[in-house]
Amino acid sequence: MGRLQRRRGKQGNLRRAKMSKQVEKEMRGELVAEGGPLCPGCGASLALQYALNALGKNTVLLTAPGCACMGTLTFDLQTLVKVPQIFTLFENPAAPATGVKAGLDRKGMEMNVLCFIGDGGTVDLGLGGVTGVAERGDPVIYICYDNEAYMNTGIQRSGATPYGAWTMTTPVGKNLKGKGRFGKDMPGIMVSSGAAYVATASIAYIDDYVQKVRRAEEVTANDEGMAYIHVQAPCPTGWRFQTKETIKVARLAVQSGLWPLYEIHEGKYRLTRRPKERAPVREYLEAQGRFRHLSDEQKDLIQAHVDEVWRKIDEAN
Amino acid sequence: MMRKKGIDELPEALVAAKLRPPVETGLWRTMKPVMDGEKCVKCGFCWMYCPERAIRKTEDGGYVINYSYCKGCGICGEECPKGAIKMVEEE
Amino acid sequence: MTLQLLSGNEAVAYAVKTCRVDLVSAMPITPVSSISEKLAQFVADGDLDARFIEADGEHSVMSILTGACIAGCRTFTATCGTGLGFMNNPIFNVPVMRLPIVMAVGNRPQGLLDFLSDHSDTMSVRDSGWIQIYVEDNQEAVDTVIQAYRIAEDRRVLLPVMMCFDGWYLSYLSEPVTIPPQETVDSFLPPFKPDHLSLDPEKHLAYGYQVNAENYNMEFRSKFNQAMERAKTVISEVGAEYGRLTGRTHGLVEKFMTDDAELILVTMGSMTGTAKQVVKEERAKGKAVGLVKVRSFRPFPGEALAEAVKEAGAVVVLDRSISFGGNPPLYSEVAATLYTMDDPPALMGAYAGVGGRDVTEERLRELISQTLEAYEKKKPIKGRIWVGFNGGEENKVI
Repeated sequence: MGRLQRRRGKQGNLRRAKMSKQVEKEMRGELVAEGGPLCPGCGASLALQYALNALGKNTVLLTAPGCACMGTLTFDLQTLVKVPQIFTLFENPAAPATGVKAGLDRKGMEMNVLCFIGDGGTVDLGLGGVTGVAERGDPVIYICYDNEAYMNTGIQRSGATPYGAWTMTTPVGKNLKGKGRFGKDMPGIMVSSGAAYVATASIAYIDDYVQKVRRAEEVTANDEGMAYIHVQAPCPTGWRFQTKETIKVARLAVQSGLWPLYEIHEGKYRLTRRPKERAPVREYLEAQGRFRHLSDEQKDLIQAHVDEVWRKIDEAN
Repeated sequence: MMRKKGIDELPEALVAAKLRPPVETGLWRTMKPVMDGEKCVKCGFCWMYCPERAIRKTEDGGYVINYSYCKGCGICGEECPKGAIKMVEEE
Repeated sequence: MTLQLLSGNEAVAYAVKTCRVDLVSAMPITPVSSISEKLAQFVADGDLDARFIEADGEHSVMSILTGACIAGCRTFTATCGTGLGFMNNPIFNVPVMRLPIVMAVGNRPQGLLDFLSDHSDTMSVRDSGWIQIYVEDNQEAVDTVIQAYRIAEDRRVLLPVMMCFDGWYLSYLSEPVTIPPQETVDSFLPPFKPDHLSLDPEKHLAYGYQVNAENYNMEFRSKFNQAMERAKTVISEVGAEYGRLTGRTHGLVEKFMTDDAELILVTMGSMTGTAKQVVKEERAKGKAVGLVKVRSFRPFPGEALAEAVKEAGAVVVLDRSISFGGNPPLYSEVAATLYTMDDPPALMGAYAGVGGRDVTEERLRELISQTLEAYEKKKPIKGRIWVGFNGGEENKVI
């Protein structure tokens, strides 16, 4: 356990109880049926559960091929979620949401339209479509669960895979040492494309995540435009850590500053969690097998990258 | 055993309507979480962080594990601040 | 009913307006951009109560329409050529969810960025499960758009329809057309009420992608194919009813001067108009020629075609697209149909208008004489006749 992992003692317990009570209050049901096929310890599963349960039954869920789709997949003509669901094509998962929302409008039906899509479908394949939705201002809630690779097809790199990560298509060997470049800044792309609300979230901070889902619901209900949440969903299978450490890894990402938690709405940038003292990024990297091969220089490079990001955040605030 | 559907029994489109009977993913486990009620401070972290929603709140505000669906990932044990959940080998 | 001088694009836009569509989304693409421009203007002026969504690519267009149709909307788009190519991915997804989307395709070459008309774009998706109807002129384009919604939304069909009209030759050509009055269309086209589509939370339906332990994938395809077969009846029925209302009847095929014809040309699309003119003139000169226009290419009207050509001695199929390395689409379908007949006519194949080359009366006259001669000598031409080869100078057999 890292230095800044836990607040111990009674204060810590009270804080925790408060957090879980807050989350409990926001739940409008348990909408994903039990006994689903996702891996033990799956980060995306938590992200999906809370997104759907916070929004409630009056939601149309759109998924694209990937872990979340597999997690909710119909089998023998029977479904796994208690809301209407559309399995979209991988190449453009966001666009059908525009059509669904417009169609519901025409029919006088008011429902949340939630796209729950992975990083591959958002950052690579569906980039044109998702930025199109933002630019048009279609009031759709789009949550990108980022497990930082194409996990469902067997751990291949995506445009969101971080620098240095091992994947099956950025392997480690004599000539290659994992992914050679940093991933796309997807929240930044969404802000530039005109999304009305953009936020990052983490499954280690469920209360923060659920609040952001709530805010996304408000923004879209007010017809302000598209709401985009980018939630990090650590994957024990692909990131190579024990299944029990999913939350720990997610927490380290936030505490080291590598995954800043913020929201941007009406032109204002607001940090929703500021680590008092950023833990060294090394702790986060060393907790995962996919970074095991990193040299000291590579780790320093990543630390420098994170430091630079925070310098800009501190400057702006 | 699923009865084979004839072509006339298939729906008109690739659309599924019925909710699936849940699969007992508890059978996946190799390790099993066991709760120690004495140590529990009812903070709710185990309930909150379970990816399978296999931990339920009881009437007295405590928590109980649904072993039919618990996959034994161990997150509850790891996140419990009091060590009130221990992972033991599945029989 | 007033005659208006309208381009194909304008005519289609007016027809779509009368169908009371709920949602239109389209991308600009020559030569059909003005359809969506006109529809956008109708919406802006309040003449059409619909939502117009500017999309970010044809892939998005068809995806948007898919979502809107599931929500219960009557939808429309127009595209062609490479635009249809970009839509390829979601196009295959539409029939399996039985979404009755209607699309106007201004046939344009696929792959090579050519101008003028060629059927390679719609032919590249002929396997997709979309109904394909090829029209001869702008009036038929108007009539077919209106019929398309009736056909698509019919409970026996529930499949999307492509109204294929040759780009440039029809889309930009101004012809006198009649747009049926709103009351006529309202009486012909009831509101869209799909039973199998619902976003009601209580029903929690899941659309698309199913995994089947029992593997119903083959059975599903058989079911969709049956719907396509039923569409033949529906296309004829709808065409006949529309004919009673407006005086213009269109069916699966159209026979033109086929009575005691020795040689029959088989055509699709706008070249039919030119070909009919040439056939009329050749008939007047005493040549026993006729023409069969194939209007519905999917579902392919094998029985109707066989019945139309069974008395002829030879059939010449004119394809407006090429399938590199194999037989072109219309020829393949006709050949398969002829093979089922007890005493089929001889078969010859031609490429006409491929890549947008103009199909002229002169070249068609030559085609008729060279094929009639070959038939009379009992030596049907082997190899393909490239009509209008060498810059339109000759009909070359390759």
